[in-house]
Amino acid sequence: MNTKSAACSLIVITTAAFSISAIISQQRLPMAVSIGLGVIWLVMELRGVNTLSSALFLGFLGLAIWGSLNGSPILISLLGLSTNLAAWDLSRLQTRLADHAEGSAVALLERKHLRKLAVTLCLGFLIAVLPLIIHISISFAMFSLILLIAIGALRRSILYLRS
Amino acid sequence: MSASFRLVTGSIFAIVLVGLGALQSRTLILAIPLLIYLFAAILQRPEDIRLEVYRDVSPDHAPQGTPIAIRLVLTNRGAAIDEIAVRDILPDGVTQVEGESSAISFFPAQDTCELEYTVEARRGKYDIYETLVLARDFTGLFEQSRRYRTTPRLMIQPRYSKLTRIKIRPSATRGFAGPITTRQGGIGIDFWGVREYQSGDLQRQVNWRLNARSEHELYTNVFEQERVADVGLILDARQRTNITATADSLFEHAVRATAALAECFLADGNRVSLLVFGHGLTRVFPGYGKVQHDRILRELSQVEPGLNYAMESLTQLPTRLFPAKSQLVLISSLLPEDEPAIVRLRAHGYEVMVISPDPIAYAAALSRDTVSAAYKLACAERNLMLRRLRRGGVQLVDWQVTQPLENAVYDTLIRQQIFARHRRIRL
Repeated sequence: MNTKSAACSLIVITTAAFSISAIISQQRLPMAVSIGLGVIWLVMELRGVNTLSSALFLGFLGLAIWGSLNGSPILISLLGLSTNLAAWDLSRLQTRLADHAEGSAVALLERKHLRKLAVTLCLGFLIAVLPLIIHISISFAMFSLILLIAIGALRRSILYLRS
Repeated sequence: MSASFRLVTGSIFAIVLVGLGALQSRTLILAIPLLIYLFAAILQRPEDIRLEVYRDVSPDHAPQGTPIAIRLVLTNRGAAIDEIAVRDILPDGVTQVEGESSAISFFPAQDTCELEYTVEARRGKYDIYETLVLARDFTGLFEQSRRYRTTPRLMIQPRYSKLTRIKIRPSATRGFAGPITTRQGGIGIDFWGVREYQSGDLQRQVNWRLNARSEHELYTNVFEQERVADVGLILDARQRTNITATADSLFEHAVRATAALAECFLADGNRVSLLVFGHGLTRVFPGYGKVQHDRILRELSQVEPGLNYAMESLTQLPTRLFPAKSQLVLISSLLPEDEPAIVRLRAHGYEVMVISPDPIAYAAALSRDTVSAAYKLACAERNLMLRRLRRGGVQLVDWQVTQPLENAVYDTLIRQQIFARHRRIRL
């Protein structure tokens, strides 16, 4: 599967996810917006134009936030957001590859990229699903403390992993 | 910091702010995939790029228009890089004709990345090449750029067509045998005269027909000596004598003519030197053979027209650099004020030949103007100057650069020589 077809598939999945999410929460406007954004992005992707991909990514992100505030199913919104992120990433990759001729090096790069992206987004999706299963009630002060510790731990873990 | 990085972090902050503002944990959860994406990008961020860059240019010197193969090898001496984009920045005057001068790939540690492509270059010396390397993580959120400089030398010499032999007759020649007749008796091919036999003369030089008419004396034939000469090539590189077109210039034609003349005179065994008179004085000392030809071509590959107010006139030409009574060949489109200086060279005993690329015809061809009064006046002025030079004893080739130099030289010099020989025979 090459980058372009992967990006197109991800755009379709994103559009479908947000449309279904809007249908379930009985909101017509987000559904129409989602389909509109999806069609525009898909057409542009098929024509090889990636200039608006960031704006379209933000559009879908806005839909996800709107949905989360208006009672849309969060699992579907999460799925849509993950595929939206992946589609945006692949659009940018295509822009970077546009000036270079196709060859074995580019094919290898695309393969490696798709694999890493898939792992990252699956991990992100799974970690995001965890809070939906495990419910903990903590005070804001406790939350802030945990956040500070998490930031410190994150920084240390990055340094450790990089070394 | 890239725009994509700002967009991702901005999105995360926006989600967190909206979630905190609305007190909705469901909204906060949306930030998690973006956070993980950002975390992965930070983890894979390229930091210490350690690359070895090797460049091979083959051949390292060639005539203009020859395809030059460039091979660029990058070796990764650091950690693996998710995405590396390499772009070779070609110097001015170099154009890519084949292959790829840029690449993008995954770059594991200790691996190599090769670029091979072919270029063509204008006349000149190229010794600084830059390679732009962009290293990114797989998301493209972090990017580091490095420029690597390599310095293999590439000399592009002028391309010229060969000339047939040009006969010169300077007053002074050198001691070695060559093709130039010296107006002195000795060993040669052309008959020069007869003298009394001297002991040691070869038997085959004895003039038996004359001896038959004489009773007591023996006579031997004497032939005209043939020697090599000193030839000084003077290339006029003054900015004022040059006319530049989009892709070409009159000076380029002059450079090609100088290269062709150098080869022609060196092939005859003469001692040839070069003086470039323009921005400064550039000189190739006198020498013989192929090595000297290489030296001259190397110098010609670097010369450019330039402006120097101290050398605006040919009167500043340092004639002491050339042996007395030698042959001087001036390659110049000529300015009206050059005429006295050239005639003075002739008066000093030098044999002077001027190869003059016609600047008026060149400019007229550029502006497509061959009927205006200005053009006709300029032509008349130039013709008058050339006539005065010819009258001053200067051999002159008025060269329309649209024609090959060979034709111009043949039409003026060689035809003159043939005509002069026929006239001598008739007399």
